[in-house]
Amino acid sequence: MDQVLLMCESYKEKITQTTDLVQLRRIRESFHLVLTTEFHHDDLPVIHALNEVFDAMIRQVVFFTEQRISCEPGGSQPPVAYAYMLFGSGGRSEQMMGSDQDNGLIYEAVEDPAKSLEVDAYFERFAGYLTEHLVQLGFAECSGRVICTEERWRKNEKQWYSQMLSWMQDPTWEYVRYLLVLADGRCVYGAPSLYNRLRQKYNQYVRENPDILLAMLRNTLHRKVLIGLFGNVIKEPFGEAQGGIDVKYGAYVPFVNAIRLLAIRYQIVGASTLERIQKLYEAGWIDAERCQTWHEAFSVIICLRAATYMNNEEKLFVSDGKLKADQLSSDKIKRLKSSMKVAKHLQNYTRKLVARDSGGTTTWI
Amino acid sequence: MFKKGMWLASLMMLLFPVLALAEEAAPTVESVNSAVGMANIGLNSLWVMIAAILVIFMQAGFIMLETGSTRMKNAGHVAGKTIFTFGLATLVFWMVGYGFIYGTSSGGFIGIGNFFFSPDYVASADAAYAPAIDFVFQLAFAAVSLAIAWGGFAERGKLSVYLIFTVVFIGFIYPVVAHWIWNADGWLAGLAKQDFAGSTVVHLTGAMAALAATILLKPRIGKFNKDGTANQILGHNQVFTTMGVIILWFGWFGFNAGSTLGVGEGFFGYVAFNTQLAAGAAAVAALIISWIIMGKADISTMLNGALAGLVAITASCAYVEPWAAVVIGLVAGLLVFFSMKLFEKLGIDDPIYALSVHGMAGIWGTLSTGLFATEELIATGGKGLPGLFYGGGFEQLGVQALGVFTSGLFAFVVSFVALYIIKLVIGLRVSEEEEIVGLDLSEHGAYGYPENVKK
Repeated sequence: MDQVLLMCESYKEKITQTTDLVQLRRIRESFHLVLTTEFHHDDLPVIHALNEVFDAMIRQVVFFTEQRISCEPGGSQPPVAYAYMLFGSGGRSEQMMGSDQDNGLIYEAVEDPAKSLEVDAYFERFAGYLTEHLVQLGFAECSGRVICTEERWRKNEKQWYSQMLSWMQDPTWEYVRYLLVLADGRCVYGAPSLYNRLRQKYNQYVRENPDILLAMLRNTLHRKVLIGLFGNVIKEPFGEAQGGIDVKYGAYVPFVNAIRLLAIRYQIVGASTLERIQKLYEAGWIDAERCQTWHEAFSVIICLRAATYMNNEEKLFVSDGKLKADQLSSDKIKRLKSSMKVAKHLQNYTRKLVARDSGGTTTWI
Repeated sequence: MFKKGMWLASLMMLLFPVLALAEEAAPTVESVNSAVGMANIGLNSLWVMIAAILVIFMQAGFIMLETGSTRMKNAGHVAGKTIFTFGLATLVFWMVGYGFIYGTSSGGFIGIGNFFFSPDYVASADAAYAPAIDFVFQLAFAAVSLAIAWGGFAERGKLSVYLIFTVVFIGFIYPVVAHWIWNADGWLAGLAKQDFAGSTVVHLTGAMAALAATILLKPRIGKFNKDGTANQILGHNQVFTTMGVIILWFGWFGFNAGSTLGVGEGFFGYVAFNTQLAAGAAAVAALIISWIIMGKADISTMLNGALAGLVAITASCAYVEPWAAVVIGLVAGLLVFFSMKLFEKLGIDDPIYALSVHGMAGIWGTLSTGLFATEELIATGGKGLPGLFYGGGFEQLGVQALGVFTSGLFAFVVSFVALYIIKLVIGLRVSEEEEIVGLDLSEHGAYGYPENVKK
């Protein structure tokens, strides 16, 4: 544990000393090597350390991006305060070695329309460079297009608020997905208050319109836990992972989704799943036993998910989220199976709770 | 009054002329028997002919099933080859195949006689039906067995290999197995092996040829990864595949019910009834097992399940009670699912799942009479002993197992040797480039879907 902390601190320090992306990339490579050879990269403390180091790397990249623009002809420092947001696993501090980019930008709104256009232009350029830099560092672009180069995820505070409101007032499948993404946001660089204010409005809307939870429930439970009728684990039928288990979509995502929904329902602040479980307990929404069961099950799942890491593919660090057949010891299967059963119960628990609260029925879900 | 009576009598004579004849000559027992015999021959002939047509129609089922289960670039080839091999099979069966089955038995191994079959124009008075109809009916069965074998060749076999293997299979392999079991003097028939409509003769024989072929041809490009894991090569049209299955199912009423070879007291209806029960049960079982194990209700598994149920009940349809038909179907449905997984694990590429559907289910179906055959049904039109669960002990089961083993082994070994020789002489498989571009182009020069295949 101490060793992990030491290693983590030393890398964070090294990262702040880098002056360009090439150095940073080298550090990432060495970090991965150390994690996979000297540590169990699928241990909880190591996952935690990895997220801290990745945060530091991403901060450094954002810093490089600011610098790059300011050094360009006609360039400048950021014209207004902004929050560089991580969404998805980054937002939940659950990044894996193979996580991709899920990010966005919130910046201060300015009154003057001409100035506002200039600010927009700055952040458009900023987003382009930043994404390019992250790719160079080995973070693949998000396939779901949750990325700051997309206008949807790069707006000033006012625009963000009206966009969020429009999503909430028209809770179709895609918009609800965006709202759930937004719930996992975390500011890693800049002014967190920009996100916090937005989030307060988010929470307020949910309090006043609890029906939106039903729409979120439909979206949330759409991923099934890969447990069969007789409690059997459903394995990959074909492909290179044949006989393996899709830990990401068959266990991790359903678990995260259910806890996220409970967090939204109970207005829990904090984005990491384990943190959310803890806070649900502290606020008295779940009992100690449930808290412990969920905590244990999720720890197993996230650690096994970390074990799905694959190697450098075309200079990107990737993972398909699947445990291969040869990675599955009977002990692992046993642990995963019981955790997946917990995930299934959790899904049912969430479904019943949200349905009951909203007075609606979800039997068709 | 008298006038009215005359008028009525004339009308009766018009309607029932026999009344007029009756006054002339009373019917004798012989004349009535002869008329009834003629009527029976006529009815039997009609029924077997209809059944033959149904079984021939199963070729349409195979075309749809195989084409749907394979890729677009091979569609024209996969569909078309069924027709020309059926044509060639007809000639070979006429020349030697039929004779090897039904000619005078030579030691119970093979028949001699009836080559270049030239049947009497009509049925003789002591026959059940016309001999030419028997030929058409038997040919249809042989052609089904051949169509099953093609499953192992799919998407990579050379066209010339199809031609040569048709001659070997229809000219020797199939007739020998059919002779053993279906010629009254065949050695397995002598042991009273039960195989009502051909779980062994037709299905297992075809599947063993498919196994030999797929082993020698090796898997299709892209089917297996270097570490042995398998990829799914999806067929290009699931609707075709489904249509194929329902056409086969439909045709199976000719296959099984037609195998009563007569109308009699309508026993063919009972055979059809059992056939339907097993097929239904198997489709349900396969769908449910795939749902449980894979988390998704897999259409392809369900379709194969239905076929496996039909294959399994083929041997036993005339021997078992309805509940047993359901059990046979349920087991076949489960079996086909696990068998598909097994062959994949063994690294054997079975594009149309012929090995599982016709091989495994064929074995199960043949063994099933050894378990479930009832004395009463054996007396109705079968042979052999009751099954294990009906007080027959293990004897019939042993005969069934022996039949499966010897027939399967024979079909496999001869197919393997024949194909191995073909492989040495001209090669079995198209080149890698040809396989990638598709057999439509490499073997026939035109795509089955010219507008839809990317050049």
